[in-house]
Amino acid sequence: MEFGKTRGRVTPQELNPSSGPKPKRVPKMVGRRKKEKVKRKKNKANIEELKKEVVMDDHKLTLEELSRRYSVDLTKGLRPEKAQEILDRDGPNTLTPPPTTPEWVKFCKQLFGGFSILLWTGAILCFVAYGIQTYFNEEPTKDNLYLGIVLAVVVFITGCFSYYQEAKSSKIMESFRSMVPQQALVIRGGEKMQINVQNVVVGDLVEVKGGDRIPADIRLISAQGCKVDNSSLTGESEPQSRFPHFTHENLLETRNICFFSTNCVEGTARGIVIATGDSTVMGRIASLTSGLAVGQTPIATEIKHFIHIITMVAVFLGVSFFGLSLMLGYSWLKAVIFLIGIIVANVPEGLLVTVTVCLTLTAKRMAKKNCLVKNLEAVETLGSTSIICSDKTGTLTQNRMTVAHLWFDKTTYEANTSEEQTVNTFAKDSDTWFILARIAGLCNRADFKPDQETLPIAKRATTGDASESALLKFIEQSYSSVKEMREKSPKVAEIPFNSTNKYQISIHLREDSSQTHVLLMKGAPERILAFCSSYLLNGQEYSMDEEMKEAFQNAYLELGGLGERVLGFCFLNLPNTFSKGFKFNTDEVNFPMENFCFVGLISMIDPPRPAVPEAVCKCRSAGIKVIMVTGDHPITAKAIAKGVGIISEGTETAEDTTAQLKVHVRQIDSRDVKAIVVHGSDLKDMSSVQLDEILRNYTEIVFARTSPQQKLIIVEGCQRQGNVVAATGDGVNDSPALKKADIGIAMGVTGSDVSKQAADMILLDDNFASIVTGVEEGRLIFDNLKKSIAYTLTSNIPEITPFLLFIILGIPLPLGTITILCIDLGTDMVPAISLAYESAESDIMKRAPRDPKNDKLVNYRLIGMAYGQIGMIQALAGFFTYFVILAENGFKPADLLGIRHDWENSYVNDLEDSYGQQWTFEQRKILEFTCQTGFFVSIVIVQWADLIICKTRRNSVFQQGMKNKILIFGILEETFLAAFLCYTPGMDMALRMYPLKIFWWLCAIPYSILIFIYDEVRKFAIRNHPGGWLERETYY
Amino acid sequence: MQRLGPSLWTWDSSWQQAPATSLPLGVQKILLGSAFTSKIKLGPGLDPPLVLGLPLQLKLAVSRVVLNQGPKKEILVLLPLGVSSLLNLWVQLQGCLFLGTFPAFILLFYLVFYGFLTAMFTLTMWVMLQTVSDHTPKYQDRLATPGLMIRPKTENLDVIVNVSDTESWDQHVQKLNKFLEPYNDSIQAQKNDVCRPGRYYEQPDNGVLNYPKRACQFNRTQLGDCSGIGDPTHYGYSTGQPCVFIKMNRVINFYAGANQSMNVTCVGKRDEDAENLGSFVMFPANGNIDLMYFPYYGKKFHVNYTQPLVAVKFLNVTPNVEVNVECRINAANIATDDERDKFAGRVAFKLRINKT
Repeated sequence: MEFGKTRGRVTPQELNPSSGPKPKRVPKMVGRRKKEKVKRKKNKANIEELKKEVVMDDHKLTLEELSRRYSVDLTKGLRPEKAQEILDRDGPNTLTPPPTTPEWVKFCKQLFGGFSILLWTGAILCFVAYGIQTYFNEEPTKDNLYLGIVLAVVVFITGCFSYYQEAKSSKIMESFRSMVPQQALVIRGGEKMQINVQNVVVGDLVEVKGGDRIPADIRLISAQGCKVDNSSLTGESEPQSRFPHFTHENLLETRNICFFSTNCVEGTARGIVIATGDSTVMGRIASLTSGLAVGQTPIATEIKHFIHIITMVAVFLGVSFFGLSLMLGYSWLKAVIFLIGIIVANVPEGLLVTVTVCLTLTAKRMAKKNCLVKNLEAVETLGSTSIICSDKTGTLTQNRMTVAHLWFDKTTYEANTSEEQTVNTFAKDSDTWFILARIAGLCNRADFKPDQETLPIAKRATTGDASESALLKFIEQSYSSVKEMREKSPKVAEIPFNSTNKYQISIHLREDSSQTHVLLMKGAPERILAFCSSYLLNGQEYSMDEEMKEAFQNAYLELGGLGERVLGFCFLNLPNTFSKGFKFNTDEVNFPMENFCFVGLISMIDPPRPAVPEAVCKCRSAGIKVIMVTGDHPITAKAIAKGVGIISEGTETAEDTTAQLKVHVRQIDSRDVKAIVVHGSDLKDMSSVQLDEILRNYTEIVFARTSPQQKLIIVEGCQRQGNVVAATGDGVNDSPALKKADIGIAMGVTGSDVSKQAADMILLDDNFASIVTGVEEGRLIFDNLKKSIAYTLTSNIPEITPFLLFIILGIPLPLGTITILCIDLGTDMVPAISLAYESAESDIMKRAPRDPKNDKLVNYRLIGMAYGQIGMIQALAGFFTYFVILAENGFKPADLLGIRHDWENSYVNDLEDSYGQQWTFEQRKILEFTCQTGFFVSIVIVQWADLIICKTRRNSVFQQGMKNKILIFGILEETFLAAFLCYTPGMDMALRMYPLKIFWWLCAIPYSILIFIYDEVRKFAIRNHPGGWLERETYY
Repeated sequence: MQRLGPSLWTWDSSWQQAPATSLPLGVQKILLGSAFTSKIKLGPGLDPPLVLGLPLQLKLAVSRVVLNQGPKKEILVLLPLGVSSLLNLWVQLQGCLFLGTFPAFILLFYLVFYGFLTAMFTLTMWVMLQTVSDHTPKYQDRLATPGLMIRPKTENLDVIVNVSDTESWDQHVQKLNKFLEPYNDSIQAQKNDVCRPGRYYEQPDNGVLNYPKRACQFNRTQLGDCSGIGDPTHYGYSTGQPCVFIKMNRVINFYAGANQSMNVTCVGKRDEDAENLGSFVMFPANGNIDLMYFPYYGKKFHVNYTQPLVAVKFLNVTPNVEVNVECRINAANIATDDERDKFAGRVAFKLRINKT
């Protein structure tokens, strides 16, 4: 600690050397800074430089001087034309973006990154081989040259395509970012207007409030309780208050300047813009704004991991066969060609394109579903989320108070809380109801905003606080027009609600006799009851008795227990002495305040959003724990939690359990109680071990009365358990939690700019259900990538085995390098991409979230399936076709073994087949290439089946259906492409592919069927024996 | 084994009778591991038991038990008590003692899987081979133009003769002797028919399999100076007047010449080659190939078929020069101008006579 203190004393001095404007001020500042626990992360040099340059004196000016300097009216702001003029002069109010990676570098990365480098090596080896051949041989075969060119072109084209895809997806992301426009409230020509921050100009009169990002450097001219968080500029984490007075010579220290891109935490303020864009203090600290290093996202790691594996396999196989063929006596030139063949066969050339397409597609889909993803790979993280810490207000609920229950005539009535309040279920003919409705309507400061007559009542905007608005709407809907009511009984005097009185009184002229007054009162029920000496029952007044008081108590407790906010209503007909014209004094009460007549209770609640219970249910089945974190009262929180299913029906969380919790959290037997409501004050006293215990032992958790800081603690607690946590938040104070969480989710409507900035994802409709959609998308992207990789990898086996058998068994080469490329880049490409369009399997939200540590994108089960099982069947299909073609042309399988030496010898022009016929070199080469074409076509045919089985991992294809049109197109496309390559005249010269007899197309069909049946059986077994060995060993 | 101590010894012998799945291990402090994992990870409080001062480890696998004590290693082979006990292991996966979950089980799975695949492949291959006729291949479209080839067959189709160096051509001579053996008149007379020249020797099946089919005689003596019979010059190789034999590739059911006579001609490839080539004689005369040797009915049916030959004896090749010779067949239905196939209806070779 000593050490820390010393440092604390030293560093600020270094930070504020004599270059500051007023050196003698420094010591004082040091003291203050130390107190505020300066974060000394800032680059000292930057600060020094900054101080040298900042020679502004706007903070020292008086308001008049300020007004003169910027020629702006301090109440009306700039004239719009003037503002436009300045905007044209100064340019937009944005920071010049830090130098981004130049496009050509990005392009080169695509061209030489990942697998490309392997292929480039292959291409170069080809050219070298060709060069050597031309050097030693007069008449070299051009095969190597062609192959080299093809490889180079292939890498180039895939590179271009990946680059294009990435550019496209980053453009989408870019547009996402611009969809979260930074708005500023400026006053121009006396009118308040919301404009984009880019359009703010020097001299603008702007207004900021809590939660806003400061749009430019501002000199304040007025402020109400304004506090700013300058942490992004100075590293001081505590908010500092701001007011219009000049307090310090140093611009950075004075209290009347707010800086661009810092955050206003609370209060409101008005000020004049003194600098915009790059000339702001923040703009000068260029290094601060340029480049926050972006960490690798899980999916990027996964793909990198996968590329490493495949590259290693390719290089290992290639090199070992290089050695093997040298040992078998091949010239090293031929060995090099084998090496190239094996590398080309192993590398799934089209994979990276598929990945980018997958991500781009998801980005589009997410945008459609009102989820704005700031960083695309975050979607995948969302898919592995295991805990969601959600806010209550606005996210789970509608953020709109609504009347839920009424209690009068000693009866509880339910008000319909549905969004369409059409059906009402209570006794509307009771006289008590009329009086109650009148009190609720008259003793109410809320009012509808004008010009909304066409809207349904529930959707109209109101002025006034939430509960009064709820009452207003309720009365308007179920009684009569409040406006008419108020016109008939004009308000004479009122005492507004305050938290000490806890009641509100208004005095109106009576409707029936315009000479007398009636005093209406509403407020906290127990306060109201204390004023009353009688009560209404069916319109008749009775004097208050114990029975009534008990009934009241029960009703109050019942409604309160539902988590509802309860208000009591009473009235007093003032005697004639207070006739019309009486001056009511509300400060020194000059009217009776006793013997009121109690009318009834109305309770209100912020109802859950309609889609939320379903979404919570989905989360639960998806193995995601939903934790509610709210600042609300525990009872309210619990009621909502029950309403939306966070605490499921029938789960034990008896009131007394919760009550006991306050005393002894640890004494509760966690085996009996699965749900818990944790009070914020308890949370404060808990050690992290205790919190861990709660998070571990309870499945249904609600945190009530929590502060945003505690949200951070909760998020950290969840992460300690190894969970992937998504947290929602809207306030400024939530941003640490949002940043800490694996996925921070901000609210698009209610969220502050700061929270949006900290978040990875923004819900444009504030709806919890959208998170679930996001989770689904995240899981889908991972699933589909898996499927796509499984599909692409499968064809590697039929691509490699020909080489292996060519070398080992000495048979003519069954599949050439060019044909391999035709598969990888031609026929396999569209089908692999089409799997990105595959819709989710039915179990996607019914299984536990992915464990990012152990559940890899490519695991041994996937490799086992692709290489060990399906790939093997495919290879057999290819070899079958190959043997059929050879046998039908005269070479029976038994005679092929070891034939390679003569077969490959161009001077042997009378090679005998099984029938005694003799073949020239060229003739049998054509036959060989026909076989290779046949092998190629077979792979295409077995890939049909592979594509169909890769559609699902658990479900049957019959359950999943064939609704993926792109996939069907993919199947057709690969077939037509294969036919095109096979039958187009000239292909024999270009790619050495020869026309096939129709029958040879059919050879692979039995194997295709076998693949389909095998996998259907496998999936059937997996579905019927969940957790069985088949699932453990083959479910990828 | 004896050094392990008496207590273990008794345990060991009792274990021999116990079924593999229920080892009475409770009484012994033995560290168990799977033989597939090279190292046993020790949890807290799980030190290997010391026997005679050395740590003892016991590793179990499906088919063997490995005992490790210090540098000593003992492997006991487990005899399976029957398939059922093996299968029980899979069932008892959840139990405390299971032998090799991953490798053995997945191996078994793949064994069955690949067994099935092999069976399937064999079946389809068998079915396919049933459809393939023994008689003629199903497709012959790649063999529309038969190729030509020379004998002696040399590495790069260049016939190099060092007249003075016997060894340089002796191997050619050996090859030719062997190649021409079936053409000996005696063998031909014994096995093959005398056919009518100028006509195809057709032997149709006419519904009944006509087997074996007869072949026409091609007597070695027809090759004249190149027959090598009683030839002291060894086909002219010792005198620098080598014989090169030209033959046409066999193609089943191919009616070469389309009922017109055909012959082989040879020329120097380029002008200077033609000059250097000098004169040559051909046997049979004119390089004629008779129609009676066609059609060919295939190795299996046309037993003893000897394909017709044309021998070219180069009389005065310019010595010490490489001469490119090209021979082609002149037949109505054999194209000899295929750009890509340099051996379709023709053959090119290099001839070099080295004389000192």
